[in-house]
Amino acid sequence: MHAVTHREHYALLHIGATRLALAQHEVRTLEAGADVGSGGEARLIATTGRRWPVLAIDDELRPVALNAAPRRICAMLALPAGLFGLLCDEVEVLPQARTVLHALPAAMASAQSAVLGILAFERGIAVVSTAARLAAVLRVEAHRASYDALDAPVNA
Amino acid sequence: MIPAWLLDFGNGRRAAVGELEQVQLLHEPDCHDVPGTPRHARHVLLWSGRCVPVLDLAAWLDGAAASRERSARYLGIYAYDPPQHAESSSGAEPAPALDAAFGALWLAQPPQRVLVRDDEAAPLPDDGRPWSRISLSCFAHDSVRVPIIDLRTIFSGALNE
Repeated sequence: MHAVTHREHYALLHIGATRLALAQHEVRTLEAGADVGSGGEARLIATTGRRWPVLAIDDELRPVALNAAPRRICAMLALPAGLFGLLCDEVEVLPQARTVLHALPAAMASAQSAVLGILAFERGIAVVSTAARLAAVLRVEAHRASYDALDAPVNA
Repeated sequence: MIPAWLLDFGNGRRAAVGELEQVQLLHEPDCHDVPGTPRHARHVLLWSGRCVPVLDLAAWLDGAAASRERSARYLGIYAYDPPQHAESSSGAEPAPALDAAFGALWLAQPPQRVLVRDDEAAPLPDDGRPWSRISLSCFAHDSVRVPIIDLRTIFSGALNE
């Protein structure tokens, strides 16, 4: 696969040993992982005046219980319908000029995987996804339904 | 006589590719692990400005019985015609086009060049492995059945279905 021309700055989310790259504009805010609270079965975080679902994934990008892998940062990712949080250890920005984007080879692709591409940078590679793809694979809508009853404006 | 490369995936799993399909052989290369991908397709190689998928055919052939430890230390890089070119290709074994696609396979040993005669055609091995999904044909070499791999199929994503 030849490199793909791109103009994005990428946000690099460190999740254990995995590096997950998302277009920087898809990461709306960063919150403290300690601010994630419980709301019934769903884990929620209050930001921008509302509560949003929060998910955790492991090194293989599989969903795990939030308490299975405590992480310091909650990256709030943008969807057309709002936000959701993804827990990670660290976030850094990779300038466009320091990265080379490749499409994920067909031999490695799967409808069940969040990985859409490979981003090469000076320290190795990151897997590339989008907020929408992560939301679909991690079934964010199912989590959203479980907290809709709580989804009222948060009083300051 | 048709020249071919005999590939050894380890533990008696052997196959072949056409002579012109092999591009390079690397020893213990620096591959990158890609999370969230199938077990037989866990790595990529950044090579000549490309992101080349690396397949562990031994893991795919053995399925759930495959060892977690990969014994292969060599990496063969192969060229093949991507699907849009293959439709218009002709001849028994044309060289891959200039804008060929590339893929890599883990190997237990360096490939061995062999010459295959028409009268060496043989049925696919009946060892319970899904050779028919990835093979174009088969020949006998030293009394061992050697499937000829369809590179376009194995690198198309068909193994993930």
